[in-house]
Amino acid sequence: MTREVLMVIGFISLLLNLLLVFFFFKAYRYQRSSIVLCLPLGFLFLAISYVFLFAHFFYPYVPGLSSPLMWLRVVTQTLGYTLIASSYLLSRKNNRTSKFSFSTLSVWSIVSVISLFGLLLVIDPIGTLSIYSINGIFTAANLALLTYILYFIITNLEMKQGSVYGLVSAPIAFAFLWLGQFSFLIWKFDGGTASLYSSEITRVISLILFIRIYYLVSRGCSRPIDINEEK
Amino acid sequence: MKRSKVDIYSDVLECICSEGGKIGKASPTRVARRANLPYDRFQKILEHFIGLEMVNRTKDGLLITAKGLICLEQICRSKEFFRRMGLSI
Repeated sequence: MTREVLMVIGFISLLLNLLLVFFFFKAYRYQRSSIVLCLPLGFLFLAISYVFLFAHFFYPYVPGLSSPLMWLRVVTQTLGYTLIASSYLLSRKNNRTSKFSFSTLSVWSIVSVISLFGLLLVIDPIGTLSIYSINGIFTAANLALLTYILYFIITNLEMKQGSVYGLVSAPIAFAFLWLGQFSFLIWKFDGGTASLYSSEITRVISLILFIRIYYLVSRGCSRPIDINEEK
Repeated sequence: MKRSKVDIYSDVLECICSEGGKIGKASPTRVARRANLPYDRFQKILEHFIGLEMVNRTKDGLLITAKGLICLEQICRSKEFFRRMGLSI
C-alpha cells in the first residue's frame, strides 16, 4: 500500500516539477542571465531525480537496476539543490548574460544524466550500494543548501525597495522543501511511515507554492494590449 | 549599477510606450533621452526592434506594435517572477 501511495505522490511531484521547469525556462527566455539559468536547471535536475525515484518504485526488485537508480536519484537531487543555491550565490556577484537556449540545456542535462546512468549499469562499481546506504549525507547536504537559500532570501527581503508583498511566498515554499528533506532524514533514523509521507507531502506543497508564485505574477503583470483602442 | 541588455531593451520599449508609442507619436529623440542612451546606440536598438516588427516608424514618430507590447509584458512578468523568487537581477 505504501509503495502505491508513494508512486502516486512521486508522479504528482514529477508533473508539478516539469511544469515549474517550463515556467522557469519561459521566464529565462526574457532575462538571459547566468544567475537565472541555474534556477530552471536546478529544478530540471530535481525533476530527473523524481524520474529515478518513480522508476525505482516501478522496478524495486531488479537487483542490477535498483541500486544505480537510487544512487542517481540521490546525486541528481543534490545537484539540483546545488544549482538552485548557486543561483542565489551568483546573484550577489556580477550579472552576466547567457546565450544558451532551453532545448540545448535540456538536451545536455538529460544526455549527461543518461550517460552517467549507462556508465553505472555497464561498469557496476562495487561502491554503488554502499554510497546509497549513506544517503543521509546527501540529505544533510540538501538541508545545508536549502538553509543557505532561506537565509539568503530572508536577509534580502528588507533590502528590496518598495513593497514586500508577494516576496514571502518563495521562502515559505523553500521552507516546505527544507521540511521535506528534514522529514526524510528523520525517516532514515526511525523508519516510520509518518515521516516518509510527511517528506513526500511537504515536497508537493512546496512545488504547488512555487507554481502559485508564477500564477500570481502572470495575473498581476498582465497589461491590456489596446493599441488599436488608442489609435 | 550597470544595466543589462534586457534592462536597456525593456527601458526603450517602456519609454516608447510612455512617450506616445501606442498611438504612433513617440519622438525618437525624446525616447533616447528618457531611456538614458546615446542617440547612435538608441538608433541601433531601434533598427533591431523594427527588424523584429516590435516597433514601426510612422510619419508622426514611433509606434509600438502588439508584438512589442507582448515582449514588454513578458520581460516585466519574468522580472517580477524572479524578484518574487528572491533573486535581484
